[in-house]
Amino acid sequence: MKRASLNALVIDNLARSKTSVIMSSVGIIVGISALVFFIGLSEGIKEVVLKKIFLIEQVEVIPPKVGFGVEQLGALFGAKPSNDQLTDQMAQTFEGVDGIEGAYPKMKFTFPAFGYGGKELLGRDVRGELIADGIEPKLVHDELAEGARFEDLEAPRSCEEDSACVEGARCVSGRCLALRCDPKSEQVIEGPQSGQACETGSYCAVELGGRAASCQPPIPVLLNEQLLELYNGGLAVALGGGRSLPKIGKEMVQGFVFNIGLNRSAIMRRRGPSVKRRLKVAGFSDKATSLGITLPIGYVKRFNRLFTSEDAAKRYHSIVLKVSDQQFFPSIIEEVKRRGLALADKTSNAEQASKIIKTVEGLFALVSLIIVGIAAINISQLFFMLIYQRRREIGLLRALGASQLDLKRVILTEATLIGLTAGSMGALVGYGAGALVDLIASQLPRFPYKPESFFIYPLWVWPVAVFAAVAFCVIGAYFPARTAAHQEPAEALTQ
Amino acid sequence: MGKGSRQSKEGDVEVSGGADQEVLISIKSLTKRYPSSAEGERALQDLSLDIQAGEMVAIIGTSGSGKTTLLNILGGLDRSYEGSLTVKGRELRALSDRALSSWRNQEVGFIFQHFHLLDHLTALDNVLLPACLAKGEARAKIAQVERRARELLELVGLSEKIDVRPTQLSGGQKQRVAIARALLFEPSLLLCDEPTGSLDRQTGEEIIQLFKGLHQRGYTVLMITHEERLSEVAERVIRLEDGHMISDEHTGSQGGEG
Repeated sequence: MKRASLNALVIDNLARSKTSVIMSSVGIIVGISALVFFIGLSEGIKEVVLKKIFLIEQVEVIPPKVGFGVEQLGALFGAKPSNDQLTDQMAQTFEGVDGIEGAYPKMKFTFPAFGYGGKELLGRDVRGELIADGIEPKLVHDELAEGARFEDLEAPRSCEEDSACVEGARCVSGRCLALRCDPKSEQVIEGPQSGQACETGSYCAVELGGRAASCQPPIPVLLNEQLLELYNGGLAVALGGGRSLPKIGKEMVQGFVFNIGLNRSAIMRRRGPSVKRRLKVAGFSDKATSLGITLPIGYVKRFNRLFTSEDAAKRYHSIVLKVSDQQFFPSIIEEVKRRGLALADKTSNAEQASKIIKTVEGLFALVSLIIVGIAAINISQLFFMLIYQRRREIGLLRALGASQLDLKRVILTEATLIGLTAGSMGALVGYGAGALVDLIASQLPRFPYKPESFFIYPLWVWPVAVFAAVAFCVIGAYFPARTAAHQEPAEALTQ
Repeated sequence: MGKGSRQSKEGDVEVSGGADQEVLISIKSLTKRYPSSAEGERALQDLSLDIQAGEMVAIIGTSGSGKTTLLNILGGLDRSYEGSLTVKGRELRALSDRALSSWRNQEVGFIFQHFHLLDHLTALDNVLLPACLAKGEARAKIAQVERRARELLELVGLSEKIDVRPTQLSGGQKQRVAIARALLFEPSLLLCDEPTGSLDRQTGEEIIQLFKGLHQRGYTVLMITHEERLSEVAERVIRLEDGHMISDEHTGSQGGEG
């Protein structure tokens, strides 16, 4: 049968039975829209839960947890678990393991620190104990906004001209040197800029371990959005002392400058060297610590060396393993355990959450497919009914030269067309339902990790949705098509 | 002009039934029983006959005599029979479904008592329906077919009704559309099942005249009927009773003279 003739016949047949076809298509539309809706929701939840809360793309390795024995006894008296194993050497070893894109050490402050400032942002200065850690800038390189600078700006760097140096430094004999300044007057005390304030973007900072000061750019820090949620959700009231501090958004915090007192505490007295520094918020990252600030690890190493010990600058608190593909996740976890190391709670939870989400996702998909399956049975009944109604017509077509294959093709093409139309409409309805849920959710107050959209639709969803609709319709129509094709033409004509 | 017929240049039809004529259909010991029928009861019983190309044959019998069963078997619509049926030397039952369908499409023209037109199609589209189902080489001719369909509607006197749907046509007009449809691919065999059974006498007469004209053009026409008047125009009359052939007579009629 000619394709154009087949198409004309199919469209004609569908047009004649449009009420029945529409009624039967409703089931397919509902099923496919549910499939698209649930896939979008699952992917959206996965994005938030696994990539923002539990960070499934990374495995965080920590020193072995204290067990029953001497170590546990030591822990009772304040001894910390040993992190002797978490060194640069261990990080290099992990980089050679299959599925690990990179190993990035993390180091916490091993001394107290407190932050203060915020008048420009909050209306008044706030002071509080500060938890901080350091990460490799490479770990967050891809996720920072363009122009955001998160690197160790005080690290030695070579140069050919001043422009290669950071603010407040000049190129001298191939090396960037910070201009010396007077911490009281905050004026440069050497070179041609002598008597002038430190260059814009820098301030006069007392150097570590001495009384000398030099012009330095503020230390770039990263914040976790969770901290912002926490502030807006409760801390704003708690820190306000009876009167709530203003709620703040991400954009307001970007570029915000505040101060830190190193090796000093806001809640208890402490002796020993201390230094104050300025910090500037470079951006937000899920990889930043949830309840504090995250610095480039170079700063943390130098501070730990100065305020604690040389050893404290070499032992990491954890190593973040960036996973290239989630399929390697189990083998990497196995490798970590084999080396006698432990997983950070976040990673363990991620493993559990991943399993739970996959199960829920599977259930969602199953429910959707059951709906589509029921719709396919409905489609099957529709075609049986249509064949019964058209049996004389089928007999006539056979008499005029339609083969069994032609009849099957006509009916299966009708089913394909129903599947294509209902599948596409179902996908649109599913997308629309998701958009509606997002619209309703946007009216709800903010809560931690509340996403802009609860739905993420991977590109494969659309062809899969339409293909599923077509497949179920064709399966549903197969037996009616077979029945029609094998109907005795002579018998059909006498009906 | 029907395939396999022998027509003079002027369009005059040679006398059918002569010894030199080509055998179009050959039936040998044809027996048909329906699964639902009682033991020993047969719709057709040991039937043997030959039909020559260009013949106009009337198969006459009362209801239940097996004439419609015979027509269905001859048209390849029913292949569950015993015995042998060859058309132009080819055993019909041995053909694949595709080959048999193609044969029906190209070589057989069906005309039914109840017309079997599709009400949602126009007269022209109904006539063109076999073209939609054409296969292989026949497909290539489809471009020329529409012109032929119009000519056929003109031939049956419906040139004014080309775009009219069957629901707006009278019984006689419907049968004319069905005849035009049957002639689309110039079949070698026209199978007519009670072609005047649903028509009033006058209209039936007109349709009979139309068949006569077709026979004169060289078509092999095989009519199933219980109406004796059709036997008057046929050059050969076969009578069936309870599945048996009780007579096979050449009437001497030349179709055109009826």
